[in-house]
Amino acid sequence: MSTKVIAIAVVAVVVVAGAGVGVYFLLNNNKGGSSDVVMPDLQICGNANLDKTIDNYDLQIIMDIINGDKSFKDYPLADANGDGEVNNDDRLLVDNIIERKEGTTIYVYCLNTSGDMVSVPVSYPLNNVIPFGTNVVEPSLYAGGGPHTVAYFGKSNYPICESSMVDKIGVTVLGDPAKSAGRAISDDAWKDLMDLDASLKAADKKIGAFLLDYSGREALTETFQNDLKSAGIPVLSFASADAISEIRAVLTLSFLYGTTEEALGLNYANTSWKVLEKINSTLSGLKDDDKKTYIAFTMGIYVCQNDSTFNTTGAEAKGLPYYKTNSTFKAAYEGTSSAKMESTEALSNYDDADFMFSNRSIDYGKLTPAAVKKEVKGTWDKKTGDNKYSDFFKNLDNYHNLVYVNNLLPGAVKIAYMAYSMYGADYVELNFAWAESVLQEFIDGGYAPFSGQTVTSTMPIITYAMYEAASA
Amino acid sequence: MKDTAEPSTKEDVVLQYHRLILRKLMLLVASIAIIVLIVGLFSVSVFDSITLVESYEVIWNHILGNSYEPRTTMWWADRYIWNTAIPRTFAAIIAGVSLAVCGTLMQAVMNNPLADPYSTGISSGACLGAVSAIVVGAMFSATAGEFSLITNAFIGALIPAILVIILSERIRMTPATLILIGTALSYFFNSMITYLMVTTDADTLKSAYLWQIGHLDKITWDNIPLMLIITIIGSIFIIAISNKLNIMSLGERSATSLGINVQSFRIICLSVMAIMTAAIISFTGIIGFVGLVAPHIVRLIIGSDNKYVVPISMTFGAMLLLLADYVSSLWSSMPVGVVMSIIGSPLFFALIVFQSKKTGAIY
Amino acid sequence: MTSPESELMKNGYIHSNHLKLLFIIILTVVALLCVLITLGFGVYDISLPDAIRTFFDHLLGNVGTDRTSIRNDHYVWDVRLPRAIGALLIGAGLAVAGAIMQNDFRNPLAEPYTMGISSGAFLGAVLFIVLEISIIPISGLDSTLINACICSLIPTVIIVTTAKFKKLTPTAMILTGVAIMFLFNSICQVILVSAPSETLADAYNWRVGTLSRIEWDSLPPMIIVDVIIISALWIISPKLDVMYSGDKPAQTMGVNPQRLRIVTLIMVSIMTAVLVGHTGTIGFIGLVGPHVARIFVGSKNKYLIPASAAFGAAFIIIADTIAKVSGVNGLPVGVISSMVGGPLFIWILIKQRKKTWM
Repeated sequence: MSTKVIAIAVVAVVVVAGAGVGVYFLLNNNKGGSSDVVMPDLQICGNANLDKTIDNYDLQIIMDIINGDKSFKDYPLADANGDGEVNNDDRLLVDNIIERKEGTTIYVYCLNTSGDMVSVPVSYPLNNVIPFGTNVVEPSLYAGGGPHTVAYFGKSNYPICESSMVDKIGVTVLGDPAKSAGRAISDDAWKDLMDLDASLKAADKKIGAFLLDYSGREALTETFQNDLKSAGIPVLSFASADAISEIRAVLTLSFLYGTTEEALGLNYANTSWKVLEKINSTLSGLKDDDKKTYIAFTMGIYVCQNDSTFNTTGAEAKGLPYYKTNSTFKAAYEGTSSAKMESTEALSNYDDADFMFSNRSIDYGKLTPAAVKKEVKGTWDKKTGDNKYSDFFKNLDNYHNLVYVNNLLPGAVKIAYMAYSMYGADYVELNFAWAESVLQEFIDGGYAPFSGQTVTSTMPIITYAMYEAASA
Repeated sequence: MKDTAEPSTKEDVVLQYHRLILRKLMLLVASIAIIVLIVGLFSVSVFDSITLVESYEVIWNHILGNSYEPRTTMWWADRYIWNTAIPRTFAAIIAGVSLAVCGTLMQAVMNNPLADPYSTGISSGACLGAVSAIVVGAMFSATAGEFSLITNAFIGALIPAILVIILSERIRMTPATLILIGTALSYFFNSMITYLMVTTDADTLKSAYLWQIGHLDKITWDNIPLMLIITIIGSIFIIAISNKLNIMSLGERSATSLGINVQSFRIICLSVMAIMTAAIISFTGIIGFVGLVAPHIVRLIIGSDNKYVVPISMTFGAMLLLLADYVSSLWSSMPVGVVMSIIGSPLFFALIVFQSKKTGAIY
Repeated sequence: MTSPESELMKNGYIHSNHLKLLFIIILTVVALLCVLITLGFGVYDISLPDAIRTFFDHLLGNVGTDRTSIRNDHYVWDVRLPRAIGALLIGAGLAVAGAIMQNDFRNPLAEPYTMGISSGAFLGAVLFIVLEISIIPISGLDSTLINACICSLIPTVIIVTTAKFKKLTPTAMILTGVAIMFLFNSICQVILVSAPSETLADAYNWRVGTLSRIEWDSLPPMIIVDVIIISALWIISPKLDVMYSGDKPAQTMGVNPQRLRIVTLIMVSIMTAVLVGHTGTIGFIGLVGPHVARIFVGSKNKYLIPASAAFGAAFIIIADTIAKVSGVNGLPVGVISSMVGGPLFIWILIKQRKKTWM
């Protein structure tokens, strides 16, 4: 009786489903993809020789290309205005850039939301930026972007580190100021942005750029992107969760913010490269077998998977990601994000990992010993369910090598502290005093997030020794 | 209820009948009026600096093809109203209509006042589809993300429906069995969802969780056509069969004796409902309660003649969801699903408490 | 109306009460054996014989002093054994709770969470995990546990009080429970949507239900409620049987069904609250456990209660053993129990479709 009806019903459902999917697919035929491209230190078109600044060397290369002495193919960034060819316009533009002439349109060489490198025009000097995502807020502030920020999203989780932005007079909070923005941009926040732009327009100003952390790109939906495009607001996107990309982002942004900031940024980049060089030269003889292995963690009890950006940061400090030495671990933690530890047994088989680096964002400004102590204990013994964070580690042979690294620090400082943790005992060049001196150098460098801070108040790391001392 | 009490004389019958019709009309008119008013309020809620009149002016100018100077308040208002507010309002209306009418259909076909469009496990299927897109898709590019999410949810929603239809051949399919199978399927799908959720990282879990709750704020014009077409066709079908639904509510035996092939009828209704619901929730996430509460309230006011209940719960559902979405836009972007469940659960509670005699008797 | 019991007897599967007893004994033995077996499973690498040896070494007091022995002892005795015992307790408790609920409401879909206990417990947990609100703010107490226990009793209190003033049919009670559940869930949603993702993940994982948090300290309260309440229920099992035959027949036989229902509901709710507070809301066992037991021993509560307890204990400990070896580093047992429970449930439906309940 009903067999026929059932058959018809199933077929109908399937056909309609198929048609629906088909229609949707036709309506939304997206394309995407990326290719390997050159990566300059200073991500600005016209930086033909890919170094840290734009100067007469770049101009010379451009003139050589115009004269036919050099090939455009070898210097893709010689095309300063992003029009696909190198000609007199590029020469004039680079001239203006070298003069740091106000009002010049500079083409920034950065990611778009599909992951392609594109040239995005911004007006020099860059002003009234809106950053979205902790991993781009911090680089922008290290680059001196606080005073150049016109608005940010939601409640700041790190008001002291971000004070140059949060406490700036006239800065606008987009969305609910009592709520952290999280990973999405709310409708309310976007309405606030529209409102802000309209009021800037009335004052004959405009939003200089929307700064986007590439790993948070999904927050910028198509509607939002179209809005920005129609209003002529450029979007600059950086993959700055990675330490090396972070240095480039700081350098590029500081260049755009103006000459004072540019000096800061150059200093930042030079200090950072120097740290990396020091680690490289000190440990140049180190073979993979002699390297310390490490497992990276995030949010206390999440294991960073093999290709997570946190894992690459440890490798910059010449550690060996643990997955390279243990195939079981490698198979278990395939991926780019992180996986929660289900029970306190989770690490029991990976006892031979030398170090455990736990990334944690801790706001600066722990000015008194009591505040430091509280933070140390609070982090170490933070509860999750009936367990503490430390319960997951305390039965490991290398429990004393569990180190919390403050995620808000400049990439180079994180790397320095990791290098010290792993090799400080064997290499006097990388001892604690050195790591502290790196941090001190950055603090002395005059970067806004460090204003009024000391090497202890920034909470660079939390070690087992510190925990023991605090618990005593 | 009073209206169903036995009338004593002929005049009483006529009077009562007129009163009933009047009530129905009044409710219909009131619902539509409120809908229009809320549409207005919605558009106003763009900027503080724009008044009700100005926002209608913006809409009017857009229709006339006039445009504003870029980046002025009116220009932004125009963009917001046309690209966000109006699609969102449309989506709320379409979803409200669709979910409410599906709820009415389901309650009539299942002969169970607690049935809703999700009773056969559709929501959990859609959810599994979407969550797998969010969790596994997190590894792919951003552009693939949104597309795979919607299709995944759509296909996922239809899996339990197809399973129920196929299973209905093997099992003697009483409404109770159908709902039980739906429950069992949703348990199973939920366990898969849980598996995906507990093995992913915290941020992805949050996106997946938020998707589940139901939202309208990411709706764009591109999403509207599919929702609209399926809802229109489905609603017409349901209105056309509303007389048969009345017969179904008399019970299986009576329906059979009145010439309805109950089994086939149920399967057809389920298929229509599955497609309609899937088309909505794959864009909006699982918005609960509309399908459950809207038909109940309408029935409470106008009685249970499906000829009237079907169209009026459509408007009522639209209004309810629109209202919820308006509240959600005022309440620092609280997802509409949350607002709906806050409105819906006390209503549901009240229905049970005040109707406990009746419900106790029926269920 | 033929009870499943009599039908099965007709089919010749089980002839006498002795067979029922045998079934219970076998399940109990299986459950206890599983306690030993589960000691050998988990992320930590130790073979089953080694694990059992470690267990007996500890029992006899001769734990080795070398690093491996100490580590073995730690993982076997301090991590896995309490977890295994916890599995027994929770499985037994929830399955019995389910059996009583199904009996009270004469509804095959009733389970321990039917009255909204799970949503109450979750609300309590969320209050502490996200908002850090302790209902009893005494330091040293586990606030998540206390909150969950207390809040999970709220729906029961509401229903019982309502039933006191207004005559509620069993169905109306269930519906009220469902309504309270919706209400609580929407409050949880409001709190959770604005929570940071890390806390949301903690809350979500709490709800799924896991045994990984059980330590030696967690066991005493669980043992106390399990033992006292299950035995009390077993003692009054003849009355429960009478109630099952319907409210009117019960009254004629001198049992006040409404009062008995409320008393048993309160007992079951307290037991469930304590168990769920420790583990989160593990699903399915309360629903499926009694059904499976009923297939073998029929619906006489004298046998059904111990059989449900034994089956529940065995089921959860096996599910947890599977959970411990699944995924990257183990899964919450709630995932496994619902994956197994879903199909089992469908099977029960098909199997029982001719029965009166369907």
